[in-house]
Amino acid sequence: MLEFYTFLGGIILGYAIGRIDLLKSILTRSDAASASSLFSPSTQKKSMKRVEIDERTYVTKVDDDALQSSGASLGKTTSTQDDIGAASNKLAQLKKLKG
Amino acid sequence: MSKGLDVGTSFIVLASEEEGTAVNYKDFRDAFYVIKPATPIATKMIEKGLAGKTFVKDADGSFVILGADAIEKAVERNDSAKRPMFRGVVSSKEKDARRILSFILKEVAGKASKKGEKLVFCIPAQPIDQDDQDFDVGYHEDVVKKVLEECGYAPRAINEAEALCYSELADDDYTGVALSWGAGMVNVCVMLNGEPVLTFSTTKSGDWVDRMAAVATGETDSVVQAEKEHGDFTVGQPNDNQILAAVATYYDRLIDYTTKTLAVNLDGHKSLPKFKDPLPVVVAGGTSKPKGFVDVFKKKLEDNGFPLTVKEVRHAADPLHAVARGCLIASQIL
Repeated sequence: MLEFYTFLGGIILGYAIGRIDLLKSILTRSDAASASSLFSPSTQKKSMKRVEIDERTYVTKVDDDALQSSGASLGKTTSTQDDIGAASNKLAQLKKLKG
Repeated sequence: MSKGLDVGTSFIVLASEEEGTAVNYKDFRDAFYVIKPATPIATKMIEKGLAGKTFVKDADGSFVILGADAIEKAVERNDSAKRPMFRGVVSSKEKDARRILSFILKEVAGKASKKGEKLVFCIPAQPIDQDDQDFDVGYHEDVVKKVLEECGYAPRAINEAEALCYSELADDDYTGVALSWGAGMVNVCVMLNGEPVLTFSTTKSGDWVDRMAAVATGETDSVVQAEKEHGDFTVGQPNDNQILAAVATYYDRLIDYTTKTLAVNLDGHKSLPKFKDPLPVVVAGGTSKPKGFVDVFKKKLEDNGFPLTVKEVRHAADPLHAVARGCLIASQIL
């Protein structure tokens, strides 16, 4: 009888040693889960930052050299009595409060 | 010293402060008209005819008439003047737009008083009634910035309606709604204590009125524009002049369209704060100048279900210069 139990114990121990990787994976389940989901779409979305390409045309010098002025001044100038200092100060204070 | 610059589809306005007591404005009509002489004799005749007008000569021998004179010349020839800008940004329709705009900006802004002088200019907001791909404010901003940097300025861009809020809402703790009715677009800003919480634009404004009235009456856009600016009409009211009657009707439709678009896009918007007090609504810009505009706008706001409680609807103190003034105020605190 004792021999039978020793034999059975040996089989169970052998099986357990054979599946030690599985045991390890059960004990460290969270790491395995994140590793297996590394390429899943949901994780990919989280881990990847969207990089947008700047499609605007690059603006170099705007060449207006060929245009020769006839000497006339452009624009009509008018003047208005207006102290904008108070408005600027009030706005500056509001902006400072907002930090 | 710092400056504010309203880069508009129809007008470019420079604002600068004079010793803290006055503000100087320099306005220039944003338009051009090209005459290409066929023979050397024609060149001399045209040049003689342009005496006293604002024009520049191009490398190919053509004359580029600028500003209000361009519109006058176009009307004389039963044609339409060209614009370096279209719907608030540098025009992709005109091949000469960039360099003409560059020339006008350099002449109006002048050289900076010292290297790195601050200058704030306005740009439009993204339109809500036009596909994104058809509108590129980024490129426009870069072009204007580049030109102003060449003049020695340190330029910064702000939204056009935000600038209007800075100019007109000081007595309301910088809280309210501002609409800048330019030639190409209507720019809208909702502001709370100096912070713009919502900005957008619509692409129908004064130029749309001109175009529709021109189609209805068989005239050119420039003729309609000239009649509109010098004639006597009231928005939404009948008129004996056929062109002005069409203009008055399309104005009514434009205000209806804008207030409906405003109501639809503000209603339930997640960025909109819960305002505790009724809000002032300020309008400015050349398109808002005709008689009856504010009254019709106020009525249409109510009729079309504007979702915010309105304290008053008022015109800016100086509708043509308010945006440039707001840019000047912004330049002093940036």
